[in-house]
Amino acid sequence: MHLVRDVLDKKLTDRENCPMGRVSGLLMRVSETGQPRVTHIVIGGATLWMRIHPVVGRLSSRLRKLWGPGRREAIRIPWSQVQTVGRDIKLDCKARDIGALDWEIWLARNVIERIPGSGSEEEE
Amino acid sequence: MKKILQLSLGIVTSVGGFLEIGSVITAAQAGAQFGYKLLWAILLGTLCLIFLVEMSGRLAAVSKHTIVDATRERFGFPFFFIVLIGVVLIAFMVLVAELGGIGFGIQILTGVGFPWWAVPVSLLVWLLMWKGTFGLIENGASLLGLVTISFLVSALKLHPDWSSAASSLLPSMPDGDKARYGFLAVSILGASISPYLMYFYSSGAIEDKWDTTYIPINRFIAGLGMTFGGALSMAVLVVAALTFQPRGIQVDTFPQAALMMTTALPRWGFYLFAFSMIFACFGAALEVSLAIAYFFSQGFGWNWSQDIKPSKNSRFAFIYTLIILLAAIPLVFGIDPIKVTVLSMALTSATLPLAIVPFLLLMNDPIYLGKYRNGWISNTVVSIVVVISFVLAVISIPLQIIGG
Amino acid sequence: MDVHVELLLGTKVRDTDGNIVGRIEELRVDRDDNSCRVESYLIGASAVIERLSAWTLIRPVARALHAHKLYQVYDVRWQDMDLSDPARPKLRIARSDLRHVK
Repeated sequence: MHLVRDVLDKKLTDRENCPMGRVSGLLMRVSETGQPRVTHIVIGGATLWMRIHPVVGRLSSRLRKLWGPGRREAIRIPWSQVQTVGRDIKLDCKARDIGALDWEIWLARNVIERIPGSGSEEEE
Repeated sequence: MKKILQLSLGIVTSVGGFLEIGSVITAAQAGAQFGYKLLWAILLGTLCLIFLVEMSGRLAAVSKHTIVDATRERFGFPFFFIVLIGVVLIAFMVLVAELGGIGFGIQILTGVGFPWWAVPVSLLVWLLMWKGTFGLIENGASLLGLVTISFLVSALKLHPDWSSAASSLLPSMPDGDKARYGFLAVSILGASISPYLMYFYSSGAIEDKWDTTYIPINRFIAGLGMTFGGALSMAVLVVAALTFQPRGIQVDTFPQAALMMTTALPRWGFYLFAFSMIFACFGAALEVSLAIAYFFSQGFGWNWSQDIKPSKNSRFAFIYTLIILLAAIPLVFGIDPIKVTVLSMALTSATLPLAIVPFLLLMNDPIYLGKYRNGWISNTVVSIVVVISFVLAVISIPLQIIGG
Repeated sequence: MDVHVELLLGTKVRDTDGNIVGRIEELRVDRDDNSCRVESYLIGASAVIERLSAWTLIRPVARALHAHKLYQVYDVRWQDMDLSDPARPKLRIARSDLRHVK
């Protein structure tokens, strides 16, 4: 398997096929002597902006810590939760539980659902 | 049976969705100033668009990825981000122009200036996005857009010199202002080869769950539909050439353009023009807004689909809501939609390589397309036209700005 | 030490003499249940592209073009790469010992 071709920037879906965003980054454990191992998938804005430029990445990280829904840190998903790597990457977890949908939920509750006709009324 | 329905709807989409303020204004200005001489630009642009649209559909059907999905995954986030900025900035300008076009259409019917219509029009566009499904938008707007066939009718009624028109399908040097000629050629190319159409089409193919069995139909839709659309653009140019050029009228303002069909169709021409602009620009505004929202959502991996309720894909809905409202602002302050149109079309040409080069690479990538990769014809045609557009743009845009 | 793979991409790799060999383009890994073991690093070397400073736009394009004359790709085993300073990866072998990707 090739990390850049097959994993990085690929779409992530959870146990229920709910879209979870894309792989922003990958964490690799490097030791003096042992074989390096990729241990986590990272999702989150700051990780993404870091790839543009470190200054942008740090700014994004700082802003995120000050304001924003849910978690303030990047989300690290252990590789053990990866089920399949194909067209998308399927994970054995729930998107909501790990915080992948914090912004989606926040926007839905505070902006979208306040506008009539958004479809939330039909659920009640 | 379903495929035949798709085919006819697809062609209707192409016809109804092809003409918009960009293609109308650029063709009208070209016809008014240079007669038939710029028909080749419309032909070249349409030819390129046929290939691009066919490729968009094929990519979606085979790889089950949209162009944006594949761009992010194949080229990485930093590259994708640069393309995003370029494409979205220009698409936004196009959106402003389209909303202005709707406002202009209403202005010439009611006499009330277009800045007053900016907010109501953008709210209407937004409402259709909010409540409408993809099918409703695609088909509804396109059916209404069929009123643009009146341009074809007008052109035929004016009995153009067919041999003269035909010879203009090959490029030639003009007698008059060469810089202006080059600039108009660039604008026409940009108006025909609109990248947002590609993104919209590939997303639509995914929404409609295309697979490899749709590839033949896709060729038909792209070929027939875009040809018809190109023919409509040419009709606009011919009508402008026969109506304005003899009188030395240059199409600088919208009310001038509105008189286009009154020679051929004295009773209805004025109203047909107004309704053509309103419906055509409405369809285009919907497509551009969707294309921008798709770009963000697909690029960042958000939930996106026009067929589900906004509360279920809030980031997607938020993006299109935001940009439609933002696009109304310059219009409220009276920015001239014609100037925005012409500039955005020229800039589209100048930035075509940014959108097309990664796309061409994807179309040749075995990972995404396997045996359905591009042949040498598709690669050659698209490459040549993009190079021509880019070179022309780089030369003529500065000249136009200097010329005033 | 935890290293961000996506930030490793594009970093220049130097050989034992301090000369630039190329940039890290890809990692070949072997999956198991809990992690991916890194087998090798693919280093892309191109003198032409080094001189084009707009590497964000140019390099992915060149990579996709598989232009072998433009772009040599070396396959470096994990044992031969020293990542003690992730911003400055170093080879543990000589340049002449590098293998080309098949």
